[in-house]
Parts: sequence; structure tokens; C-alpha cells
Amino acid sequence: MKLSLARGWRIARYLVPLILLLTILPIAPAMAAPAFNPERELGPDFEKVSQVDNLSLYLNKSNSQLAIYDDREFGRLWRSSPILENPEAVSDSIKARLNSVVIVEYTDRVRTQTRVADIISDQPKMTFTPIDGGIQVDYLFEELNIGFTIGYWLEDDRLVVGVDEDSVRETEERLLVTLDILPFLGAATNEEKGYLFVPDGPGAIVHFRPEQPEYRHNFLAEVYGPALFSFEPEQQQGPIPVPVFGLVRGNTAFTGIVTKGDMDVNISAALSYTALGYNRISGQFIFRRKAPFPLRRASFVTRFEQERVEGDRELKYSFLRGYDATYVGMAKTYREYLMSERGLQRLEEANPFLHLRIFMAMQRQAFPRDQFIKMTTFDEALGMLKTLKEERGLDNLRVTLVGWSQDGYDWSLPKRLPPEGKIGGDEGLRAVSNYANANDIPLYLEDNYLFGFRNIDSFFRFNPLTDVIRGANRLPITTNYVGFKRKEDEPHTEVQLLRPEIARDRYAASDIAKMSEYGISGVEFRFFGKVALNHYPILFSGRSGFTSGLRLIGMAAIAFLGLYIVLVGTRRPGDAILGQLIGGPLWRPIVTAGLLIALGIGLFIEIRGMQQPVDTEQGGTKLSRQDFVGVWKEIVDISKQETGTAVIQGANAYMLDTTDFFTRVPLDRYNYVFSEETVPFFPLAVHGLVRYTGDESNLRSDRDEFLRAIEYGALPTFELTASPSVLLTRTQYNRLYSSRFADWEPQIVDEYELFIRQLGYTVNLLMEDHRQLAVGVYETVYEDGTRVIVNYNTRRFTDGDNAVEGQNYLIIPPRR
Amino acid sequence: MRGDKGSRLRALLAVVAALWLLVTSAGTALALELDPKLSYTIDPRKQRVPSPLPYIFEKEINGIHLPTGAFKEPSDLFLDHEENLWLADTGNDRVLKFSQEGEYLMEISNLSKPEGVYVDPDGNIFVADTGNNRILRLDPDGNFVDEFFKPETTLIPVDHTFAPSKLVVDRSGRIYTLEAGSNLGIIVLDGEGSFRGFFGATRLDFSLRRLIVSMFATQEQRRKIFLPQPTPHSNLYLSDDGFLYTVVATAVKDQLQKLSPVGVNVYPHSTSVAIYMRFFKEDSLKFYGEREGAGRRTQFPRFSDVNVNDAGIITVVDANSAKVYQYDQDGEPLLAFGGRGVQQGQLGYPTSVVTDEAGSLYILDAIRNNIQVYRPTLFARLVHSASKFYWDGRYDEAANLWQQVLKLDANMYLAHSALGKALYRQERYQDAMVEYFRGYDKTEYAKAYSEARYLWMRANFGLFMLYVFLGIGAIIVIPRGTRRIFELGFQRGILKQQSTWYKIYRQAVGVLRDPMETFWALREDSTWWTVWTMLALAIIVRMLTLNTVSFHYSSIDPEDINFVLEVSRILVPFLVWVIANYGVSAIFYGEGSPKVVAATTAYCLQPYIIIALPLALVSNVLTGDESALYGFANTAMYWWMGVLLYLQVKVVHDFEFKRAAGVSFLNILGMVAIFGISALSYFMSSRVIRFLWEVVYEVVTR
Repeated sequence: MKLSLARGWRIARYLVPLILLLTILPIAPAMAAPAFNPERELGPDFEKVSQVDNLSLYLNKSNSQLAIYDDREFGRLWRSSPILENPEAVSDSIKARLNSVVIVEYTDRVRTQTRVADIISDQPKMTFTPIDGGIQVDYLFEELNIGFTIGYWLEDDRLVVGVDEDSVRETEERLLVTLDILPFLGAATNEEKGYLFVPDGPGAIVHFRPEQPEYRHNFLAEVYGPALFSFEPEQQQGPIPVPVFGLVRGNTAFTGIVTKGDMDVNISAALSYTALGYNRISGQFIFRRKAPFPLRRASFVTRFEQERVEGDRELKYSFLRGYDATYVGMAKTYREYLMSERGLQRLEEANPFLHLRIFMAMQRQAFPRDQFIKMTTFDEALGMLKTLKEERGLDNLRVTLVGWSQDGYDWSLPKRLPPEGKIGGDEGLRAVSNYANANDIPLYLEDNYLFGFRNIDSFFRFNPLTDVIRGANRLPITTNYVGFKRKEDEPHTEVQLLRPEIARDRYAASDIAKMSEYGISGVEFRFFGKVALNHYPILFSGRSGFTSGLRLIGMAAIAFLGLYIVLVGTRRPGDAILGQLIGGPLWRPIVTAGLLIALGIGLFIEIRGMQQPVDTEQGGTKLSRQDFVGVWKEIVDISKQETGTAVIQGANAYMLDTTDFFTRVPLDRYNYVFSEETVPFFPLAVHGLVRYTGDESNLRSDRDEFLRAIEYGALPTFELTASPSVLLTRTQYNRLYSSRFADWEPQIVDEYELFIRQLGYTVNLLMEDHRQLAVGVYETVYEDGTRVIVNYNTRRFTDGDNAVEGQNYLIIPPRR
Repeated sequence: MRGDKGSRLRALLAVVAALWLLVTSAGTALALELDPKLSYTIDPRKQRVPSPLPYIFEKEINGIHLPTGAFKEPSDLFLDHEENLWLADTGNDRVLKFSQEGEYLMEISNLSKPEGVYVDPDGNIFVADTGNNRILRLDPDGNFVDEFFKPETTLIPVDHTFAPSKLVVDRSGRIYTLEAGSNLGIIVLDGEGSFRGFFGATRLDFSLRRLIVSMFATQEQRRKIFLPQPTPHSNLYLSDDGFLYTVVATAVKDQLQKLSPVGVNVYPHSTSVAIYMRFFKEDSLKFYGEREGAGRRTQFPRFSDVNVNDAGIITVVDANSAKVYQYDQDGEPLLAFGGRGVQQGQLGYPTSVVTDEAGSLYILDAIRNNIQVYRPTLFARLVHSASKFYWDGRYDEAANLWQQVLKLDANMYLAHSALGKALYRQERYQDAMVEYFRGYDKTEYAKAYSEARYLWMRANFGLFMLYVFLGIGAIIVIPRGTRRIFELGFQRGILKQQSTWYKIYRQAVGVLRDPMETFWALREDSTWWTVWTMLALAIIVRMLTLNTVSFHYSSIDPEDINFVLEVSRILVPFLVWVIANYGVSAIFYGEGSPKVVAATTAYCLQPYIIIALPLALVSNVLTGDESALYGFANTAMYWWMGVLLYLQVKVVHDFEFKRAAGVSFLNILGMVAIFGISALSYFMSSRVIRFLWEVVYEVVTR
């Protein structure tokens, strides 16, 4: 082809600008927008405090507002308080609130009402001390006499906020209730795309939208569930198993992990429709909890507790960008934290298994004798194992026996040994454990170290005054037995909760050792991953003038009565007392002796009481939730020493480092209306580090729960009996409404095939990703590339080559 | 008999322990394992039994992301024949139409606080425009057709403001409308809006006060006296077969009614007797929903809407407890779930409910201002279709489904009874009995038993006759045997003729044979041991009776037996009778001393001691049809005791015939007085006791 000049020029005319354009295009944005300068953006009020790696910390000394600049790609400037777009439209008090980095809630002597103080309206005295990587600010609210020091510093790409226990100062006039640090960090309006993450059950998110219904505007829930009783059953919360929260804003996000003081913290969140006008989330530290204090019997006033919850408090914020700025990224951050600071380790082998709970026996209240209900004998349990192992070829099983103890399920607590004779006793249990050991089936015994029954029998076992858990009001905490009230107005069977030290020293230490002699692999601890309580020792303040006087009057009355009967109450006054005691009608000496004994006991108590100082506390020392859990962990350690392993029911984060198998982990159901969408934060964080099961497959209401177990990487679990479950109908354990082994055997085989043979290899893999492919279709990705797609819809879902039937799942193995 | 030292010490310790427990029993309660998944069935004993979740929260329709904006205090929901949702958005003065998926379709505005909407099969829209006191009729596109104001009739007072709140329209075009809070009943209007009468008004219970007032008071007085009014209906639903289902919000009985086309409640309703019986037996009322709380704080259900699906399952929402109840066509409870709370699957304040063809529930929530959509689980679908087959009389198909239900939920009482019915039809009576027992269905159990007994008797007639002879033999042998035992005792020298036991025995037999003579003799020769022996025997018999009476004749279940209560049922009447008898007859110069009165009264317990236990044993071979026999024996036993008591009064105090009758009557009055006085003193002293208790409590626990 001949190339003429004119023709060449014509081409060049177009080509040159094109080439120029192509070269400039990639750098054009950089030219258009000059490099982001956080200093310029922040203005002169802020000064740079420190810089660690990619994060810089800025502080405004006039009001201690913070700003954190993340200079990585997609990084952003995070401010502790939002910049108001329209300051005139906002009232002063709200402005003050929004501009405060600390919000203090306090109460007065009466301890019923709270008031709120913030930095702007109350102008505390602030003292700044530089520390390594950051700055320490001492706040002193002079009018309130409340002071504390908060350190803000950078550490390994994280912002750390800490309050030392020693730095907290208060007087009796003004008592701290809560402390909300950085309440408006990264607070966003609805114009931005994003969502809040709350650790509700497995995790939940709520999106920023132009409008949300009113009941979804506020969220306040205590991590690990309430430590104190609430009178309204409606206030009963689902569990908050991890102390983590987060906020996603466009392609950036932050997540906060409560690293110290996680036992005493609320997750507090609000959407922009509240008066404050921003979507915000924070961890609110608790210093005092409310409790119903008795005025008189059955009349209570709700007040804050007198004593402060003690301990250091610390929050770590991580800043996420780009692809990581989702709940998945938050879960990974939390996973890193668990591995680096809490010592959790990856599971070495997949070692998948199907978990079988076998319910053995219980008693039912009847007349004249309680009726013993035998659901499964040890022989039958052995038979079940043999059937599954030898006939069905299910090799990977783990088994927990429930209700194996004396008198069956819970009936004789705190006594549990020996194993109930009517279902086979010692030999029966030995036979099961021998078979299990010979076939590598770990065998656990479920046990309950919290309950103690109040009856005449238990009087000889524990003291209901000093051996039980008491709330801040110093009253014992009782519970509904099993929790399902048969009638709304039914008086509950009173169960007392044993102090953890009593459970440890008097029962766990000896009982677990004895249990281990049966050759079991471990103990499954009920409640341990679900409940954390406070304990306050009982206060004997009976030496005040009033009560002493009362006792004396009482004793004087007894003495008078006794003397009257002995001396005056006879027909022949003047007779020798001794004669009266021996002769005469039979009742007289008995009554006299009784009264004299009572008098003696009274005097003894009184004299002993006089030797004691005023206000003696009995029944152990005060236990914070941290201490409480600490003792329980020691019980878990006993099991680990004696038998090698332990299993925990529930999965509150404080128990995660104790063992590697958790049962009855909340995977669903517990969603507050605040949460729009349930997300698998918890599975994402711990899958591959621990093994967990959800609710029993035989008690599922719907196929959704089965799909959820697949999506969330849970292991299958069944709770079965040999006899038909109709025998349990009129008992306290009628929650087990479908449990006959023969009915569920095929399902066990099916689930074994799916969860163990097909998905089993994923058990020790970390979860890499989780996302929604369409409405009702979710995908979980493991680190080796395995993809599990779950379709909750009834319609078929197609995505490229992959088609998932309605209400079904699809496992895509990694490409090799 | 004396126990050894150890057991006595233990007994003493037990008493101390009991007192100790009493003192330390105060505490706060904690619900540890409360599962938000609260779903249950209500068994025939009115107790809750857990069940799988029948419905799962699927989504909500709240209007926020739609052009309509948020709802405000919505009060009525209707699903038309094309499965579109109609919503009376009361607070926003409008009616909205949505598709089933929640897409916004239409709005009817220019209304004032509309509280009800109905769309007939042709698409004509009827709106209860409550604030404008009219019923509005619109064509399917929402154009005005007609409006009806207060109908002209003398039956509605002149000063009454007509404020229609809920309405349905039947096939012939009659409008049935309700007024919120008005007790006029269901007002029926024809297609032109003229008055056609009232329908299905709730009946007032019989009340003595009202009777007296209506007999004696003048018109003027009557107006001033506040009289109970019939309780108003709160909502209605018209089923395709022409039955009108209504709920009554503030009643304590018959809250759910199914009205036939002539306005009669076809559900068995509480009779006047039952209303008075409720003081004695709580379950005698036909009660729907559940009471919550106890005593003065009892909360009754407040049903706000009712809906019936194609399977005939009646769904009712209770605004007070925020629960959803489902009943079958017999009005028997099937499922319950919900409850007020902050979690999905719980409700705020449900005001209306509809079901679509797929079985989903649409529940209108006036606190959360949304429509919540609940999808039925497999369990609920099974229960519904089983119930439908059962209601259609296709028992065997139903049984098949009930069996599947039971596999999912062994707690389902109704399924057990239904299965029992199928087995009964297959003439497998013994299996049917087992299922009826599990279903706690005593009547049907008795029926199955009667068949089973018949078969047994036919097969084992010889054995039956043997048992009969043995029974007759026992009646003959036992008295003779007892006498023989005493005689043997005398011969061997173990017993003496003068011994107390023998004397009591002789007197007891004497009271049965010749009461007059024996009572007379007892005036001279009675002992306290009689009292202890007879009371102990009566208590033992009571306990044995409770455990031997057959399932279909028992009035109390083993787990509900309270030892103390059962003992006091014998002791208290005895004690009060003795006190009253002694006191009253002392006034009339009776001659009996306390000891004689107590001993003779104790002998009067004999008929119970002799008859009750054999009767309980016999109840195990009696069918339901023979309850008359059982009842007769029971009544005869009490009459015998009554006659003995009368004779006791007469002979012991040496009264003549008339005076004895009068004194006996006074005795009964005296007993009533004693009960009254003790109740009064209890109420008066209970405050003092409570105060003292509080002091002790404070000393111990503070």
C-alpha cells in the first residue's frame, strides 16, 4: 500500500492526540486532584501526634478531638467527630454531643437517674502527656469530681484507646455509670453507602438507607448477654458472643475490638434518624449496672449498684480499605487478633465428625414417688454406636451422653455420681466407653456446674445462704428450671445457681477425677459458653441497733414464754421445775425443751455475731464477670487435665481459647429487629480455629436451618433417644420433641455423607470470603478455593455454569 | 413405733432445713435458657408444650422505600381474591393496595381515620371511613360509587354516632359492620345502606344484680345504675362457606366465635353453670388464648383479628401478648407462636392478620408500622393439611399425616387423639387407648376402653367370671377374715379382749351395723385413739385412691397431686365439723363431750374408708357409659356419711328427731361461719404476718 504524505498526516492528526491522551489518561486523576493533605484538610487546630507505619494520629488540643489518617490506597481521614454540613440546623446541645470524644453517664447518691456529661458542654480540665506512639489525655470534670485518663496511641496499624483502672477518680456524690469513648468515630450520614455491623448472634448488619423503620433506630446490648437480671422477659436478649463492632463507609471501614474489659461493655449503635443525625457505633464501657434492690419483700426499686466494676479497659480500632472493607474483612481482623493475642491456633487436621448427643434418662414429678423415665440405657446407647459404626460405616463420630448422672438429667444436682443404676450404672457406662475407646469415638459426658436444687435433700449438700450466686442486690439468683414455663403464671421450680468456687472446689475437682475413671474423653460443660454472671457475697449487717434490738426482743419473748410454761403454766405453782419436766403431760417437757434449745441457739448466734465486725460479707468474695469466668475456666482445665479435652456449650469469646470444640453455637434465630441481615461473622472468624455445631438437626423447624449449617460451616449434631420422645412430653425436658433414633437414622447417614464425606475436608480451613450472589443466595469461599453456594429461595439459581436448585446447595471443589 | 436415733435426727434436721429454706427463699429470678424461638402448643390441660417453629419470619413490607412512605398506626389488612393486599393506613388517612410481593399499586385518599377495608370478589371496594362516619363503596379502580351513613332505625339510639370500624360484605351484598368499642353488635346493612338488623350479639351472662334491677328499678333508676354491657366484637371474617368468624376483645370467655348464617355461635360456649363453676374449676370456661400473670395482675387476651385459611385453620392474633394462635375447625388449639419482643419472629402490637393461598401469614403490626410476612414451615403445613383431612372426616389419610407430624413433634396432643381415632376405626382398640392417653383425651379413651373390654370379655369369659367370683368372695371373706384374725390373736395371746384396737374394731363394725346403738354406747366408752386411727385410715385410703383410680375417671393427674392439700381435704372438714358440732350442740344443751364428738365423727368417715378404694379399683374396669354406676356409688357413699353424721348428732347429744335435724343444719351454718371467720382473720392477720415476715426477711437477707 502506498502511503502518501497527506494520507499520513491525516492519520497522524488523529493518532497523535490519541497517543497523547492514552499516555496522559492514567495519570490524569493524579494531576487533576493534588495529593490529599490531611493537615490542610484538618486545619490549624489539629496537630500531628504520632505516626506509625501508614497511620498518623492528629489531635485538637482544645477539645481533644482526634483524627486518624490512613495514607494507603483508598485510605481516608477518620475523624472522631463528624463535620456538620449545616451547623445552624443543629441545636447546641446536640452539637456539643457530636463534638465530644468522650461521653460520660453518671448518677448521684440515690443511684436511680443518670445524667450525661460531655467535653464541650462541661469543659473538663484536660492534661496532655505524650506517650509512646500517641498521647494520654487526663480529663477532670471539676464540677462533678469525676476524672479519668484515656490514652490514644497507634500500634501495629491500629488505633488503641485505653483507660487505666488507677486513673478513674470519683466521689460518692457523682458515680460513673458508663463511658463512651469515640462515640462518633467515622459517623456517617445516609448519603454514603455503608452499614453498621453488630455482633448479634453470628453477626448482623444494618444498611444506611434514606429511611429505616423506627424500631431499628437504636441498638444497645451488653456483650455476652446481661450480667444482671431483667424483670421484663421482653428484654431478654439474644447472645452477643464477640466484643466486636464495625462501620463500613463506602470502600473504607473500621472495626473495634474490645481487648480489655470486654466483660463489661455495651455495643451501642444508632442510625441517623435519631436526634443526633448520624449513623454511629461504639463500645460503651460499663462502670455500674442497674439492679432491682429490695425495698421490702416483693417490692423493688431499680438502682445502680454501689460498687464500681473495676478493671482496665481497652479498645483496638483497625482501619480497613477496599475489598477488605466489609464484614468479611472485620472477621479476618478479629481472627488475626484471636490468633496473635489470644493464642488460638489453626486446627492441624480436618478430622471432621458427626456429633451425637444421647439423652439417657430423667425424672418426672409424680405422686407418691417421682417417676423415672428411661429414654436410653447405656446398652441401647452402645447399640446405637454399633449400628452407626458397624452397619452404616460411620467412622467419625463424637458422642455426648446427657442425663447420665444419678437420678437422670439434673435431678440430683449438685450431686451427679454415680451414673444412674437404672440405665446400667457403672458397668453400663464402662461398656460404652470401652467400645468408644476401642473404636476411636471420643465420648463426652454432659455436666452442669451451675445448678443446685433447693430441696430438703440439697440442704445437706450446699448452703442456700452462702454457696449461691447473688446479684448486686445481694439476693440469690434463681432460674426457671430448663426455662420453658408450662403456664404463664406457673411458679417456677426454684433452682439455685452455685458459686463457681463451690462448684470447682467441692464438686468439679473430685467429680471430674472420678468421671475420668470411666474412661471418657472429656466433659461437655453446659452454660459455660453462654452465661457470665457477677457474684456479690451476702452481707450480714444484722448488728445495727434496730436488728439487734429486734433479736433481743425476740429472745426475751421466747424466754418469757418458756418460763411461763415451766412456772406459771402448771396447775401447782411452786413445784420444782425438774419435776414438771419429768412428770405431767408429755407435751409440756417437749415444748419446754424446744424453747430452751431455741433460746440457746439464738443466744449462741447472737454472741457469735457480736464478735464479728459490722457488715460481714459471707459466701465468698465478690466476683466480677471476669473472675467468674476465670473460675469456670479452671473447671475446664480440670477436665483437660483429667481427661484430655473439654467441650463447651455456647461460644462466647472468652471461652474460645480454652478448647477446640463448641456445641450449640448460635448460628441463627437470635436476630434483633435492629439487624437487617444476618451475616456469618462468627463462622468467618473462627472456622478453621475451632470446631463447632449449631442446633440439633432433629429439632430443626425448616430446611433453612439445614442450609444455614452448610453455609456457616457447622458440623452436624443430633440429640437422640432409643425410646420414642412422646415419653418426654409431660416432663420438663419436652423441648426434645422428636428424638427417636430409629426415626432419624437415615437422616444421620445422609448428613454424614454431606457434612463429613463431602465437606469434611474444609473443617480446618479458614473461611476466605462470604458474599451474597442474589437475594437468598449466598456463597462461602474457603482458603483452598472451595466454594459452597446455598440457595434459600424456592426458585433455581443459575450463575454461569453453576446452577443451584431451590432450597439446595452446591459444593464447587477447588480447581486443581 | 419409734425410729432409730439417726432417722429422728435426720427428721429434725429436715424440719430445720425446711424452715431455713422458707427464710432464705426470696430471690430474683433469671431466665437462663429462654429461647426466643418461642413456639408451642397448648395441651388439654392448658399447659404449654414446646413445638417446632410453625412460621418463619420472611420479610416485612413497611412502605418506607415505596412512594407511599411509612405507615402510621395501620389497623386493618385485607387480602382480596387476586391476592392483593389492602391496608387501612389509619394514621395517614388512606387505604393502600399492594401486590403480594409488596409492590405499591394504588391509594385511596380523602378518608378520615379509616379502620377497615373489604374488597368483594368482583373487585368492589368497601371502606369503613371511620372518622367520616360512613361506609364508602368504590369501584375496582377506586372511583366513588356510593356512601352509607348512619342507618335510619329506632334500634340505634339517636345520640349514637355511627363510626364503622370493620366490615365484610357477603355474596348477596349485605354489609356486616362493627363499630369500635360499641356493643350494639354486628350491624347488617343491605346493598342500599338501609338497616337490616343486628347479628350475633354477644350474650350477657346471668346476673342476680341485673335481674333485681330489671325487676324493681324504674326506667330513671336503671339509667343511673351502671350495668354490665355485652362485650363488643373486635373483628370479623367471612369465610367462603358463609360462616362469620368473630373475635371478642375484652371477654374472659368465648373470645372466638363462629356464627352460622342465622347468627348462632356454633362453638360450644360457656354455659351459665360453667361461669359460676369457674370459681371452683378454672377450666370450665371455654377460653381461647391464654391468661398471663396471676391474681389481680392477670392479663386476658385481647384478640384483634381472626382469619381462616382454605384448610379451615383459624388464625387469631392477640394484641395484648402479641402472640398468634391457630385453632382447628373445632376450636381446639393447634399452634402458638410470637410474643412481644425485639427480635424478628416476635411482634409489637398485631392488629390484623391475613393468610394467602400459599399459607403465608401477613401480620399487621401497629407498633412497628409494618406488615410482617411469615412463611409456614413443613411442620405447620403438615399440621394444617392433617387437620383439614381430619375435619373432612377422612380419618385414615389424616392419620397418615398426623403420624408424620408426630415424627417431627411428639408433643402434638391433637395428633395423638386423631391417630387414636384412626386406630379406633381400624378396631385396634388397645393401640387407640395408648394414643388417646398420650393425647389426654379421656372421653375417647373411655370409648376405646369399652370396646377393648368387650373384646377381652368375649375372649376370656371364663376368666371374667372367675374375677367376678373372686370379687364376691372377697366381699364375703374380708369381714370374716378380719374377725378370724382377731380370734386367732386372742387364741395365741397376742391380743387381749380389752385391747384398744379390738374395741375400735368392734365399735367400727357396730357403727356400720347399728349406728344408733353404737353411738349411744360410745357416749360412755370412747377413746382418742379412734380419731387418730380413722383419720390415718382415711388419709391412706385417699392416697391410694388417687393412685388407683383409672385414667378416664381421674380428676387429678399424678404430677399435680399435692400431699399437703390432699391431707387437708380430709383433716380440715373433719376438724371444722367437730368444732361446729360441739359448739352448736353445747348451746342446745347437747350432752356430748369433745372426745365423744370427735370419736363418733371419726367413725362417720367409715363409708369413705370402706368404699372409696374398691370403687377406685372398680373404675379401672368401668367404661365411660357406666359412669352413672360410679357416680351412684360415690353419691351413695356420701349420703351414707351424711346419714351417719345426722344420727351422730341425734344420739350423742340425745336430741329428738326434729331438734337433731335443726342442729345438723346449724352445724353446717357453723362450719360456713368458721370458714368465713378464719378467712377473715387470715386476711386481717396476713398484713401483720407479712410485715413481720418482711422484718425477718430484711434481717436475714440485707
